[in-house]
Amino acid sequence: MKKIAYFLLSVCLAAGFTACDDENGNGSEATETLSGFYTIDGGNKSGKIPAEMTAYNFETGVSTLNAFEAANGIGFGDNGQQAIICGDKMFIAMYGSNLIWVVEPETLKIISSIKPDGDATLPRAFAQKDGKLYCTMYTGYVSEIDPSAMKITRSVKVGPNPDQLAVWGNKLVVACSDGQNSSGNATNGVKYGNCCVSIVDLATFTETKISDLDVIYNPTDVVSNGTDVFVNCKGNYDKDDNTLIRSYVVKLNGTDVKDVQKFCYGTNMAINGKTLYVIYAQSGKPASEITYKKYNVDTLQEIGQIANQSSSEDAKISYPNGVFVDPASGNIVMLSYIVDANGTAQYRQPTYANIYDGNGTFQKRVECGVGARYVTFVHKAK
Amino acid sequence: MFSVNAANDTTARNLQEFEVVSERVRKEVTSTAPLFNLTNERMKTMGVTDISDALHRLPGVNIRDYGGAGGMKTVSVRGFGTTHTGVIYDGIVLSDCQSGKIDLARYSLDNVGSLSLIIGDNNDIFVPAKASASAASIIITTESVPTANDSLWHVTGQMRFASFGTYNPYFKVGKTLNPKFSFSVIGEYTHARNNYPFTLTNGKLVTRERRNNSMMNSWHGEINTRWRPTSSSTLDAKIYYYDNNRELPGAVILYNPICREELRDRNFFGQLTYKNLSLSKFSFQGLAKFNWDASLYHDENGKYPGGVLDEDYWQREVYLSGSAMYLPTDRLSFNYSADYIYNGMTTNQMEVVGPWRHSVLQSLTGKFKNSWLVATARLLLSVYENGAKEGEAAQDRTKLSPSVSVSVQPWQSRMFFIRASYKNIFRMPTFNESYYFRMGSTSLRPEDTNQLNVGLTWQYNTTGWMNSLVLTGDVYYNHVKDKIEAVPTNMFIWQMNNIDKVRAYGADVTANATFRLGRRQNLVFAGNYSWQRVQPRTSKLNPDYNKQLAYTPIHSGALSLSWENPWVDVVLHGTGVSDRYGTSTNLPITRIKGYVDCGATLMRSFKFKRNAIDLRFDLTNIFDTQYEIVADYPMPGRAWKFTVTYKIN
Repeated sequence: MKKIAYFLLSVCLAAGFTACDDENGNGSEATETLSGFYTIDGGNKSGKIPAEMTAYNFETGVSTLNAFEAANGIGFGDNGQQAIICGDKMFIAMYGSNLIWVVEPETLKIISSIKPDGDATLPRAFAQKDGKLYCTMYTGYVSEIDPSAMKITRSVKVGPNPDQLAVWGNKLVVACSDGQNSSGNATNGVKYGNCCVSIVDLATFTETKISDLDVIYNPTDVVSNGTDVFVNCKGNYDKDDNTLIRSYVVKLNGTDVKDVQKFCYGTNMAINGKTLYVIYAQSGKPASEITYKKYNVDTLQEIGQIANQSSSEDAKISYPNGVFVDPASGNIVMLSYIVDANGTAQYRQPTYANIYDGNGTFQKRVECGVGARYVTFVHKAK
Repeated sequence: MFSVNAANDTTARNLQEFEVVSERVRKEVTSTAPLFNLTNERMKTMGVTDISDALHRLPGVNIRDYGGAGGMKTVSVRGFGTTHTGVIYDGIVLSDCQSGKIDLARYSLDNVGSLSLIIGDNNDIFVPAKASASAASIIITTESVPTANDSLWHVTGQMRFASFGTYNPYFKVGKTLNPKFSFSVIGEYTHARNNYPFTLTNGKLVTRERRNNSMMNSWHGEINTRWRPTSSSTLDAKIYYYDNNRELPGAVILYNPICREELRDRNFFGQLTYKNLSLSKFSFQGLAKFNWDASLYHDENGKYPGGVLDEDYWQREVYLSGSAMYLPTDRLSFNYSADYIYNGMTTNQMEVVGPWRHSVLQSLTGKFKNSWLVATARLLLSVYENGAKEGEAAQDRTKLSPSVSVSVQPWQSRMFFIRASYKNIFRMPTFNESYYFRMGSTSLRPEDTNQLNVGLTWQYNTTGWMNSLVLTGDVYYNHVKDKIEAVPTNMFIWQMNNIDKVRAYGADVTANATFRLGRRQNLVFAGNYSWQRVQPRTSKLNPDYNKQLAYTPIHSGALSLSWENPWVDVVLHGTGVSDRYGTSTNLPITRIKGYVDCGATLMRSFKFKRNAIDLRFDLTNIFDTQYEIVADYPMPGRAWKFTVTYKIN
């Protein structure tokens, strides 16, 4: 911590790219350089492919597969979701293992771990503000973590099956998909029928809901630049075009239903300052229909392509699984599956991350493990 | 071979058993398509411990076993999926329209008279049409009721204790009340804590763990009756009930041993079998069955609405079959069979629409037989009509499926046969594949299979020290097209599609030999070995092209050596498979190591008059080898089983 400060700058997480002790994030970035990134590789349980991490070092250009086990000599665990750097520690949410790893950001060496118990379990995603870490628990809670004590301090009940969350002013915006309410005992006969966006007031640590299935349906992702917040609603995944509710993006202009502004289709998003990056890869639709667009967060007007994918064969994304932007450098990283002859994504095959600069010019392709789903940027002080 | 050892019980019985043995062997070597038969006695000789072990002793069979007494066990044969393997229980094909898979773990060996594997169609042509509607069949035949002229009570009481908190009482009572009517009643109960230890290797960390949430309570009862209205006709009736309430330990997940899943399986059926062999040129068989099946899954976790998930499925089946056999000359025979089957399913799942299916299957088979040749040809006409209470139904199908088989005996003096067979057959998409929540597709085509087999069989008998030798060797080429695969539309949503092609080729070899060591001492050897390549061939551009199909070993086999003697019979046995991959792309990280599982069995029988006490001790996985058949489902290590059986015959 004395010599090196790490910052989480991953935006999809939408912690507002702020350090634990610096809400606005405009403090020390100028003195930092991007040193690399980690991907969380989800693996494939049914194919006996464990979850892992890939480490990429910008300075050496070297990527290391299975970086967690290489650093620690033990397995990463099941169904890793997200990692966040908070102060001198990195926290990693392991959904399947119901565990939060606490590791050294530079080496991935285990410092400790947090085992959620009681009602709030199954960690999914993180956000941080004012020296506190917040983690969604898929059983319907947001838990507050004291990063120095590495303990869960309190939890607040939110909507069912919360996924991602983001800091928005003095609030947390939590996407509660109700994703488990889909089969046998759908409580009101409508799948995801209890989904909502939960707003957690950080001053009182209490929750209110925005729920209206017409505007918020199956929300999973949230991004925020601190003042503008966007929610990705995944729709109903229906295979019939007549009943399909496509995956779409809304902007929250306030905390009331009438403040929810639906404005584009999208399946993955990231934010950097006044630019929103949106990939639209609707499930069941061919790769040729996938779009990669940038929007101005104020006007909500399209302002161009995320990246130039036509400069070389490697610059192309075959089937996207996420877009991430490093606010400090403006670098864009897109994750992709490989596809087979029919253009079908291969979920049991290694994936790759393509790095583009802030203008969308292709830089490099990095091989990742199976099911890479999340990127955490690592910075160090100059 | 108990009776052989048990001194001069009755010569007649020994002879009878010898005839049974030789009949079994004769059927195997003269079969026009691969047939392998494990009788109850043979399974004892081979030290077979349970149904999963029995299946390992059959060539070409690939078993999925989730481990322990409560773990589901399904089989696939020669690279065809599990759904292509029919399971025939006392003459009638078991069906599961929901998943297409039959969990063989529910059939204990205690009441099994024989377990057979038949690949393709062979020269046994007097079978219902549905019995020839699978690429391969596992045939389970239970022990029958006492014979017509046997008026004694037959009573069996058995108790088994085994490792991991397992006990299993079993009884059977049978009697012929008058020459026209016999019955038997059986009942069994199994309790297993099943919390067996296993070694977990997590990187550098090696720990001893136990399977959690693995308890099982199951019971099964049957009533069998046989009525003999005339000397050449029989009417058999069976009432069957099975109830298994078990916890599911789930896959091993690092750092999270908590699992609360439970599954209750209930199955009731009643069936009637009428056989009339009275007319010299005509024989007739009629079958009827009503089947009810419930699969009730329950899980508790805070992530579910209300903290609970219940997935309940109920299936009903009505089955009617008639077969007529006509023998115009000594050399020619014909069989016509017609089956009607109704299947229906209801569930508490949303978006599953209450599907049903009517099936009409008709088969016409001809057989020619002379002193050196047996040839058969069959045409199966299948008509499937699908419907659903709500929404779109799966497509209807009508298909004609041919099969031919031939066996040649080049030298009259030698029991040496050359056989060849071809079969084309398909399977309908299961209800899950057609309708299951988000994944199903009603436009699926059936999976079509073609199989070719060429083999040699040889039986050699002498009066010398090697009493008998039976060898079989088969090579095959199989092809599956329109294979139904779950294809992802994104990470969370998979949909069923007919895209894949799979090619399989391989060889199966079996050897059985009996050596006479001295008076009342025999050494019996049984072995089987399979080599198989099963290769996805959908597209050269796909990463799995020509690789080995997931969970399919290239080498597999089993050996057993039994020393039969007047004191304590000793059997040593082992089964093994080579490395497999969890993925069809054979990603190195998904390699599942091969294994050899060795066991030993000690048996002793005490007889006095009509009473017999059999004692049996089994030690399984002697070397405590830690292995997995399904990824992250560890199999039990060393374990024991002690069985005491009291019989009045």
